[in-house]
Amino acid sequence: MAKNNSNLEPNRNHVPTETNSSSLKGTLIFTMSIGLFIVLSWSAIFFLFLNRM
Amino acid sequence: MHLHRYEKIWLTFGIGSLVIFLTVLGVSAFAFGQQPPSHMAKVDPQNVRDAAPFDEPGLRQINETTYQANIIAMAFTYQPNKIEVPVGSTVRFHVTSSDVVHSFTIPNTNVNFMVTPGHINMAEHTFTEAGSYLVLCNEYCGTGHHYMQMTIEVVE
Amino acid sequence: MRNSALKVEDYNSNIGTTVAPKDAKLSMAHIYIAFSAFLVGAIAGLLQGLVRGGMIELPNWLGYYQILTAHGVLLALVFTTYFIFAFLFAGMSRTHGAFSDRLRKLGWTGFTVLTIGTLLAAILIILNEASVLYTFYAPLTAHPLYYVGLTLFVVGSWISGATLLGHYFGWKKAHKGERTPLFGYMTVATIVLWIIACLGVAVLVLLQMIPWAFGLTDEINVLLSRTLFWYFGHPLVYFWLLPAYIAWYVSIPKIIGGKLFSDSLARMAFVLFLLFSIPVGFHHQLMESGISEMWKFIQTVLTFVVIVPSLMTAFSIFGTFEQTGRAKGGTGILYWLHKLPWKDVRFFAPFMGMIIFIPAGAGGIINASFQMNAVIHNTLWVVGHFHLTVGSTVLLTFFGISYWLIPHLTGRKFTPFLNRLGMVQTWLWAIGMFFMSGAMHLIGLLGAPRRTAYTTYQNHPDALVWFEGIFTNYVTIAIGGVILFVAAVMMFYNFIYMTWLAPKGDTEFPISEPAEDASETPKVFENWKLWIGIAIVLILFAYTIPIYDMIVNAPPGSPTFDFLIK
Ligand code: HEM
Ligand SMILES: [Cu+2]
Ligand SMILES: [Cu+2]
Repeated sequence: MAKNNSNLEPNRNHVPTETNSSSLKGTLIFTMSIGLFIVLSWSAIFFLFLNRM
Repeated sequence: MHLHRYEKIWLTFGIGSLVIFLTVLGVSAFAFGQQPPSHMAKVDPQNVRDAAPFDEPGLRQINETTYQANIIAMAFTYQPNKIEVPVGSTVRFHVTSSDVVHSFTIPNTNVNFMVTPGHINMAEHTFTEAGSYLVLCNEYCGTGHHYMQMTIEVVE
Repeated sequence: MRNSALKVEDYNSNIGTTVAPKDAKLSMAHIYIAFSAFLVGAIAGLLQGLVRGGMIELPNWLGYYQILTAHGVLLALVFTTYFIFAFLFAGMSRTHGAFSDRLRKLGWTGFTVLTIGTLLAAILIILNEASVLYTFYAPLTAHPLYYVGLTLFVVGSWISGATLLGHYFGWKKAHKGERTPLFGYMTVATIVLWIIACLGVAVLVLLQMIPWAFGLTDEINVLLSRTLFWYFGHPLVYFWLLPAYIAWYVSIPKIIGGKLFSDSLARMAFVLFLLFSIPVGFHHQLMESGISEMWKFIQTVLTFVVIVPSLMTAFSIFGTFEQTGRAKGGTGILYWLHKLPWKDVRFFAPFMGMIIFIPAGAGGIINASFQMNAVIHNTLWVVGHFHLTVGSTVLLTFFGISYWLIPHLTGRKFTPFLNRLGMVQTWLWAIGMFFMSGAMHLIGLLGAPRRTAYTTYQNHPDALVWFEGIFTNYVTIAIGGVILFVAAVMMFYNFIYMTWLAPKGDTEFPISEPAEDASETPKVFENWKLWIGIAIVLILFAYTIPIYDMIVNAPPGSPTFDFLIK
């Protein structure tokens, strides 16, 4: 099919090959917030556990 | 194989948190005795009433503030069905099953353990507030599972 | 439109890499059963929510625990397994070429055996001879044929698994020295995990339950049976999760118009799942007598190790999003997020699943936390937890896969109309889960038990609070259940639409090109003998001594209790 394939052969040339730090800042922030969420929720239940001893 | 610098930071934080969790749990369990219920004693599940302590299910006083409650879980009740202790008492629950798997669960406390036939499980709780405490079975044990309950009256 | 990846009309293109038509038939056969099971399971779920809230009563020919058994079996076992094989068969055909006629025949054999097992189990559930829930814990006893049905189910899945492995080995032979495409690699890891896991349930059912249920043996070792079940039960949840991860690693990068962030990290994550998701079953038995604290703790530590590949996945997938967003001209710390195809359900449904995996995973860590398990064990918290993990993360990803897999297989178009339906469906599912699962978590902390029909425990105040909270209320659960049910019916319609109604045409099966670093991926990752060897060593380490103890120091066993379920 001779349709516009732009997103099927996606941006082969645009995807950066280097992984310089600035390009993953958002990922770091995102994962670290997950970490924070895990620590907070775990602590909350741990204190609930201690409270109920 | 190459780890991005940020991924190293993230994994260090993530794995570090897991190590801390495990350390806290391990120390509080193995050094301070807050272990999960893992009693190793066994009984004959088809003849639980033949031997002590389940030949006389019920409450026994051990010292001034400590009691031992020997309880048989069965479809769909507990025997005894009600116990009464003074406020401030520590009760050690010894529970076994005369038929299928049940649980012995007191909502809003950490007493919540499985009762498997052939085994005795136990947990301890100090009742610091007076009132009526619900005990329920939260392991499916048959058509009447949702009727299975008993109460603990903690009195002044 | 600014972003080319948003153009739904453009997905329809024949790029010469398709699922072979005969393989598509096999895959579609699985899809039909998967979605039929899904619909019936969802009806059961709706009823459960309403019954528990005290809003309806079931007619006396229908038991609560009967529909709960149906719900667990149909959704957690039937829907997942059939969908997974549909996806893996199609994906292996797409990435490794058409199956040989001989192998495809084996695939149909697997399907047939799986289906006979499913039907047998279903009949016994309908007859109320098997209301033992999908975990069938001894010594509650179902009709012996129920266990035969489960056995056939497992055997069928093994045959299907062998078909996939056979296809992989065939490809390997024809492509000596080449690196296996990521899809094939991950499929092998998933199937190997499944086969090793099922050994536990095979021993349980064949050596313990069937002889006992048929009356050939008088008694069963209950603790051993539970341990064998959970040896299988935990990797079972990874068997659901890994195919969703395959879509995240292999298909999503393509859908958003990018490329996977790292090939070697993806393979490493799957190796870690294979190694560490089995020797951890005791985390389901933390509140149980007869297993010592030390062995429970050892398996708790191993459980925490299997969290690491999910941490890696979070970084890999989000890193892929960020690189793609930036490649499309996105800037700033988070502004590149605008470049992702938010209006494309093939991206958005799995993305919603990923977001839901954050509370789901956090909850899982809490559940596995040794003595802390007492807070949540067998409460509704747990039900809330796995409706997030399998019920949302996995299911939303499977829905996301359906939007291209089904039209691809049926030779139809993924239309903008379907995309809109899908977007609404995803939102409804997420909102319904927010209410149902959110309330289940909190009400569970207040002690509400799972697997329990409507009861106020003789109006005991500790139980009445479950009916009185603003959010922490059984009614919230029921409302969430109703919203979910609407979403489920919509999804079923989408399935019908994609199978029979959508306009004829082509829809792409998206497979991302290899990551930049794929050529550097160490060869050792494909050394299956090594990984299986280590997995076995870990299993032996974690289980040998406790299981030996359970057998040698066993108390007298238990007889059957089939009258309790009727
Ligand atoms: C229409 C959507 C759904 C609704 C309304 C719903 C509702 C429920 C409810 C209320 C329960 C708890 C019953 C109890 O413990 O007494 C339950 C249990 C369960 N649900 Fe769902 N659910 C839905 C979808 C799903 C999906 C998609 C899956 C998995 C793929 C799933 C898997 C399970 C499992 C495994 C159980 C536990 C069964 C057991 O305890 O034996 N559910 N569901
Ligand atoms: Cu029960
Ligand atoms: Cu698990």
